[in-house]
Amino acid sequence: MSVDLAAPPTPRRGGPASLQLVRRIVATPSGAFGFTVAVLLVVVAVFAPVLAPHDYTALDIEHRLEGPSSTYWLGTDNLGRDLLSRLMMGVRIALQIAVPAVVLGVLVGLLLGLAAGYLGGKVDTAIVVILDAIQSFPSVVLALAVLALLGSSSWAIVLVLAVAFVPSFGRVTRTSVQAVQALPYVDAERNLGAGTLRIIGRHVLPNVVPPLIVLMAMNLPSAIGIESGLAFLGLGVQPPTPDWGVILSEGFARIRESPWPVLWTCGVLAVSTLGFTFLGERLRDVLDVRTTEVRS
Amino acid sequence: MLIYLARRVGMAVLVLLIVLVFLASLVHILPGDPVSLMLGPRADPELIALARQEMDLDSSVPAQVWHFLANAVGGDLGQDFLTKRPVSELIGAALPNTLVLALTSLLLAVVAAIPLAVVSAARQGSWLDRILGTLSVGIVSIPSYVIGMVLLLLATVWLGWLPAIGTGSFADPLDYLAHLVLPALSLALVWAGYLARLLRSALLEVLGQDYIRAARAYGIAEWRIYYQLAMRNAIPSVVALIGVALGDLMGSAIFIEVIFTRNGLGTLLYNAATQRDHPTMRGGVVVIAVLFVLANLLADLVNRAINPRLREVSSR
Amino acid sequence: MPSVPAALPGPLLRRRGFLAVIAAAGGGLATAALAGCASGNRGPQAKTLALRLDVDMGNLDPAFATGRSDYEIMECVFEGLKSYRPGTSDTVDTLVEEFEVSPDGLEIKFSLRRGIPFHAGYGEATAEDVKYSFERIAGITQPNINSSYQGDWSALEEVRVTGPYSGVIRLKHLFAPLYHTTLPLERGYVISRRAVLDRGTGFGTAPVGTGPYELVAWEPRNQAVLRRFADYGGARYGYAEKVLWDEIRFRPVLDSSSAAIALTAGELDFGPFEPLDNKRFAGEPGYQTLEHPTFDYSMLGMNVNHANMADIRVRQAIRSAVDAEAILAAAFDGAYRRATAIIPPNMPVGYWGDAPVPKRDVDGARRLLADAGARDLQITLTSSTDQENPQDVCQIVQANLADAGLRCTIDIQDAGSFWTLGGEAQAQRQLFYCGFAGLPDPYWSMVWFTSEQVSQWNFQSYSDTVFDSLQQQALRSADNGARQADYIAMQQRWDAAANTVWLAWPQVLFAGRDSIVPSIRVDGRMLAWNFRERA
Repeated sequence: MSVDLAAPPTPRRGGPASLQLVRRIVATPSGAFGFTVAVLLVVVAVFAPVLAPHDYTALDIEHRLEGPSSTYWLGTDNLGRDLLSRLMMGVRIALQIAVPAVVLGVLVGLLLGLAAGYLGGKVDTAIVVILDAIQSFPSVVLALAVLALLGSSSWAIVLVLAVAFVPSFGRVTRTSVQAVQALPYVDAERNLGAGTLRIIGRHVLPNVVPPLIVLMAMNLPSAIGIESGLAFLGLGVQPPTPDWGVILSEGFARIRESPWPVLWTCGVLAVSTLGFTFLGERLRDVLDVRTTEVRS
Repeated sequence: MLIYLARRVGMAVLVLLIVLVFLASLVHILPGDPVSLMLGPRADPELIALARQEMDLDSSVPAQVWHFLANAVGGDLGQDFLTKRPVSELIGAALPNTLVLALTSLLLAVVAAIPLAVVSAARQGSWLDRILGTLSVGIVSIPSYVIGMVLLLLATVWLGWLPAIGTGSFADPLDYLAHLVLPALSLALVWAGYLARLLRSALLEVLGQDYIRAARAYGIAEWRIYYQLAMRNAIPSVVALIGVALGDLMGSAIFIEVIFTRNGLGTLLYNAATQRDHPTMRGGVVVIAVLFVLANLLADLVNRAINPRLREVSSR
Repeated sequence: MPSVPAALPGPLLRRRGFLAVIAAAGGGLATAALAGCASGNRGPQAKTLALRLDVDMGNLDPAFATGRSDYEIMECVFEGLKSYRPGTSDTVDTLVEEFEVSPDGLEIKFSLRRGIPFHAGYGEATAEDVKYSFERIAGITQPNINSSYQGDWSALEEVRVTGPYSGVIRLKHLFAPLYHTTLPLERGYVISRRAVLDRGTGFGTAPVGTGPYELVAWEPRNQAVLRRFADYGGARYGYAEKVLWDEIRFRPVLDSSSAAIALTAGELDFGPFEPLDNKRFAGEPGYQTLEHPTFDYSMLGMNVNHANMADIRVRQAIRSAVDAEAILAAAFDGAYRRATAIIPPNMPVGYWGDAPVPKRDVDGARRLLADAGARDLQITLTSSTDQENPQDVCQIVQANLADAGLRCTIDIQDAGSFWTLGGEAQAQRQLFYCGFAGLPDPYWSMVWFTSEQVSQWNFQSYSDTVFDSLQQQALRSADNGARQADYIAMQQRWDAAANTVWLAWPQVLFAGRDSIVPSIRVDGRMLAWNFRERA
């Protein structure tokens, strides 16, 4: 994979860099979609209790399994709880697990990648082999095994997901480190006595951060998908917590009586995963990261 | 070639070992006790001790891995803790259905991907190409169980065209196929898009080459150029992915099998997981690991064989 | 740039050849996979029936049988003097040719059919075996084995043998359930005395009876395999056809959804399922579903000895606030009938048709709570993980009570904790949700709620001397009309005590392949030996 190590970005006109970035992201339809979805999800996750029209635990048996109505905009679940409110709380839960998982994956992957790149030799080979082994092994199967052994606590789920993401982050970091090390002016700096940390800070990090950010955006939908899937199987978050997977599972059991819980949950899952994926793709273009890496 | 083969097989074995070591050490490293999860908090100590012994949990990690491997070579993957049936028997009954599902999905995906890729490459840059591109990228990210459920809703609950549960029996092939359509489609859709995308890039790369221009100059029909000449050289890049695809399909198959109530390795693993049945879990995970590693190996070898131009890359 | 001439046949053929090999390999693999899934666990000749048990098997000794799984296996292995005619609540002669009850009801003269062999070469069934079978459970035979079913034979004085095949059952007093539950069910099976003496405690896993099937394999948590008994004496052929199956396998599959998968995989042919799994098979081609009533009941109980529940107005408020209809619809998916008292309508005697059906009255509940000065009451609702859908039931109750201003915390315990008997555990109980199994005689429903059961199974701590004496009265009566009146009176008093909110009379929900014609006993147990196949 090649990272563009061109000259430092020249200041552009038109406002602060972050606004520039956003402008470029939303310039394409898919980018705009992705960005909107991401922002929407974050807002809902943070303000869910305030935004939700109903209390997500409030039962209304008389109106159970109904379709959309003026009271319950998306309909109700098997105990008469408002689907919209539950789905909104579900955003919070999904992100509460997916985001830490991805962040943890980045941190560990970064460390491993740096170690592999800098220490080289046997350490490098060992790390690469382990990362390769984990990389494309079906993470769901691994998650299943771990959760079955340890029970389904939130942190166990976060841990398992993080492990699944470490390889991709690790690889990217490692390649960055290798590329940077090969640069002549970095070599010169080192000869002048610059410490490893300084080189990491000045050269490696700025170059590895953009692809890592792209990868984070691309791995988030994976995290959400697997986490909801595990909850659907009954191995992740447990009912009555309104995790999307739980809502899906309860809705699926009664799919013949009302398709709405399944439909809406599938909808939000699809939109969320699509959104973050498009955002990642657009970020890749905007941040000028070229990669032929196969996403896990 | 032999050295390469040896190296790849070595890698494969290493992957397996890592999986086994990981499973065995997990119990030791992290809090949580699989036996009490399985037997419940009120199980009497004798029963717990017996269970621990049966599952070999008191041996050290290397010893556990060694015992398991020694037995596995002889075909003994342990005993299902709850029903005492041999794990190999359970897996043997379940595996064919999953294999058929995975292979059929892959086949469907490839068959769909080829024309999609050709159309996209032929009309590169057009709105059709861009829409197909967006869709492909998008659908890959949607979890397959989402697609599976929507298909279930459509084809079974609303339209009543196809059966929702079971695999049907092999004795009645048409019935089996009817039960296979929806699950295979759910899995195939995701990969069709992704493979189409990849094939498109490979095609474009090939199409830019001299001999294609020569072929055109010779008057060879467009469709021949795409489907026969260009495709031949583009396929290898996709073959390499088959291994990864199979691995992903094994994982997604768990959800699809549960949703469509099919008896397969996925549901076996799922039941073992929910009932905390450690031996069956371990056996199932190992079998999946073996299959996955074999698939990757095979894909890799095939790729090298049919594309002698492929240079060996030390890290992909 | 590497260039490969397109027209050269060489490399292309090689690649094409390779691709062909791949395709062939793929096809071969698929075919192998297809062929690999052979017929599985059925031999081509033997007719096998595979049935699901939803609870694990325990002990097949009639003195110690642990639950419904055991009963269903035992039905194929043992026979009693009488049985329930399949699918009805009538009892018919099975091992007896003559059965004569004396006018005062205290003596039953019987004579056995001749030539009914026991399994495993243990000879003919004789009156001595009958004597041994009954007196053993009654605790008359020494040493006393302390059978769990001693209560069923508590009225037995003795069984006097008058000939090799004839005898007299002598009772201390009238015992109404004798004809409904003792004789025709597990407690009344005739076992081989010699076999019990030979096998001791091993008799529970290697039973010897006169039934059409004998046990050939006992694998706990996996399966019990029965094979057709070649020398079967035919005691049932007076009211049923010849048995069809060569082999019957009972498989305990504890998880309902795994069982559903096993059914679709052909590993099971028929069995009971939970409502949601059952629904998946409804309307699916190739499968059938079936409902059958039971004598079971589920309820919300209130421990009147606990400070929070002591005031009857609080209990009445709870009864008014709980929305039983909602629980039936949402937690049980509409699969069960609403219970209005303890005895269900299918019970031959004792059903209280005029029982009041509480209508939800939240305002009334509030008023009652205000009267009792219990506005700020905080109560605990307990249940067990082994109950039916405790999560949903408890959440609904919690919401219902909250509407009336009563705060309630939910505690769903594991089965071991919930079912702990004794004073200490009882002192903790307040409001609880659970269910009990019933039998075809109301005596067995009521027996747990007498005064002597307080601090045992009487979680409501319901103590009423009139109730207790009515129970004894109805027990010793032969008059169905009188018994009916007694049981209704008991239920009326119970209702007035307001310590229970009746929820459901659960049904058994079966699903299976539609080629099977099932046969179900009056209490909802599968009569595997009588299952047939559709033509």
